[in-house]
Amino acid sequence: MHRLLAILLVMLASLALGLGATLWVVSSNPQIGALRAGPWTSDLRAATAPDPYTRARQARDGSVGLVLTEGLKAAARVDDSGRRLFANCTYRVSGNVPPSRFWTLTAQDGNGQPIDTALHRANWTSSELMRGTGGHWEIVVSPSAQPGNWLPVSGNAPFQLMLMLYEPSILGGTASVNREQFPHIQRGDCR
Amino acid sequence: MSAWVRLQQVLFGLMMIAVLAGIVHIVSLLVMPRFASQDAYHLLIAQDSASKIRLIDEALRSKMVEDPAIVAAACPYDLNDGPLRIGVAPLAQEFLSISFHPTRGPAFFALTDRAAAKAEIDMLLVTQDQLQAIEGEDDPEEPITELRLVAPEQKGFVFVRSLVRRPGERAEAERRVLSVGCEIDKSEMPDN
Repeated sequence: MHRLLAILLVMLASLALGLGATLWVVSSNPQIGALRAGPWTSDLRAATAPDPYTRARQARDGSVGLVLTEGLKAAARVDDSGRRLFANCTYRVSGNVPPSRFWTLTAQDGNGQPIDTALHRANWTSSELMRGTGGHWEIVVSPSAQPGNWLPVSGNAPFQLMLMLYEPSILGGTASVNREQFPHIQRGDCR
Repeated sequence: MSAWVRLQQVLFGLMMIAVLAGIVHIVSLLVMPRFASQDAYHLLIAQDSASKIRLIDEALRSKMVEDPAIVAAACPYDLNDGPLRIGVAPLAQEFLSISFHPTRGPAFFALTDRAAAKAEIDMLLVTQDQLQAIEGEDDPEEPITELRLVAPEQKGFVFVRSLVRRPGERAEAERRVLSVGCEIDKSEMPDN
């Protein structure tokens, strides 16, 4: 009797733990095996040969993944110093972007949806950016109005920046990127 | 029972939990996509199962399209009805990508407007049987101008993306993705 109870307990615990791990991994997207460049992470495998984790996630959330020839997504949840991005702070995003035909930078909330402010601007595209000499650009992510390329955010919740590269040309078969190919994210004042 | 034996039993139990939980995790992960009804294909045919191009509306956008600068359209297909012809002519000098997806799992083919050698895209999505039937009818004197692609399964969907470069250009991008022809083309098939 004692033994039967023990076996039952082991089975139940295994089932709960195993299914729990599956549920967690497909709903929270912990970026297993992602490519890293400073604060940026990119799930390169999802774009080339999706692993079972990506497949399970796509089956559950209805998303349609980009093929690498179409585009590549990179996301940052932290700034250059590794501090979590918060919508009540101002961030200066500048530097390089891996060579591509076109790119966009979007501020997303915790659910991966664009942050909708009264200004209805949740992103900047490489075509519309105001640039300085030598093509230098800077996007200021901030809850308060900024001159230049202002990407408004609101509230004080954590958020993430999504960098989408369309028809990227960096990845000629190799999966190596270096830090300086991706933009810097520097934190300014916080409210 | 000595404390040592008891400890051994508890450790063995924990080990069993770890191994079994690992098996449950892997099996559930692999099996899950087979039973999914919320994947992109099923969401699309729940709206309309006809093989024609349609814009991804607001309801599906939040799931399928992450980038607000992307305008997308989709075209579910069922090759049991015949081969699927996908055509764009003429191509604008703007980003346009077309990807081919089975009912589940990753895309099996994708191309962008730049990959097209000419100023147009002319593709025929077929099953292996349809390809053989069509090739049997090919005139050896005439060059084949279309790109023929064999689908891994009968059903799936085509996904089209274009970019809104500036806020005022959304309507133009919508026209661009909707201009992609996507319909069952029985004319290619030999008469039965």
